[in-house]
Amino acid sequence: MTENEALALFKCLADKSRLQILKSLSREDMYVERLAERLGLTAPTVSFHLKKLSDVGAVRSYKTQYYTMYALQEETLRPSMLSLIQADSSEAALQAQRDEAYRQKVLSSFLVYGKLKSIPTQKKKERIVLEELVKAFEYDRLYAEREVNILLADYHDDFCTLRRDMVGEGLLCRDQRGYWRPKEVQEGKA
Amino acid sequence: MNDSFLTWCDQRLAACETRRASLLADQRGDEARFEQVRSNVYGIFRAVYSALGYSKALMLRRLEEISSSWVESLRQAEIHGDADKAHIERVKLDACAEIRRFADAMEECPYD
Repeated sequence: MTENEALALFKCLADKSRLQILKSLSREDMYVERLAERLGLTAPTVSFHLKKLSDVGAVRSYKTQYYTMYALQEETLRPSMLSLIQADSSEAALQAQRDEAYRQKVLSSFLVYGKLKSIPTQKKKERIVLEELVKAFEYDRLYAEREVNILLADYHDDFCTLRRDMVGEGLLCRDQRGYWRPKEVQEGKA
Repeated sequence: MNDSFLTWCDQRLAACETRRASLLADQRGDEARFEQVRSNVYGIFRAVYSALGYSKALMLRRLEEISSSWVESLRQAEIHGDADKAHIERVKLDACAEIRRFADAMEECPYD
């Protein structure tokens, strides 16, 4: 169940009449007039609620000889609250899109024709730029400091700051042998 | 029928408000909304009746005009499977039918 489907379900269930209808249907399948009589509602009102419940997949209907019967759609109602909360969020996808748009905006502001106009002073923006620059480094390869400097000097004259900040951000690792690009780095981290 | 119709409308409005409050308190939001819709219809025709000089005939004519647009609206909602809208139109038409029944049973206003 997607987040939007879960929201629609919660919204639909936040009504006493609809809960009462579901309670009745949990005992046995019923037709509109029977539900109306049982719950003290008019038949059109029961039909209205059943349509809402049907739209979110909480009930299903089937025809018998004389009546349209309604029954609980147990597959929809069975998932736990926890599984609904943990469902994939369309909001998360939207947030990722917004993040990527922001990232592209920052990159286009600071990187012009492959050159870094200036090193961003804002930490978040610098991180985005450094994440882009680190792509110049291959995985599984050890770089001497001189090689790192040459690669970074292609982007900006202050390659020392770039190199130090890359190490500080964990985008490059360093020991006495040299520098390397770690695989576990999560790019896009704000 | 001016006094009796206005009194009847006021009673219906008060009853709707009581039911609406009760339904809201009982977490029955949609049904409370339908009571509000019903109440609006009584309010409309109470105002129409007053504006048309307490004329039963004119009010009923206006009621036919207005309700015919709601009939069409209901038809459209049913065609497009809009259950929410369809039910609201039914509530409005139901209130109209009630008003019509009351008005029909009333004597003509001496000013008509």
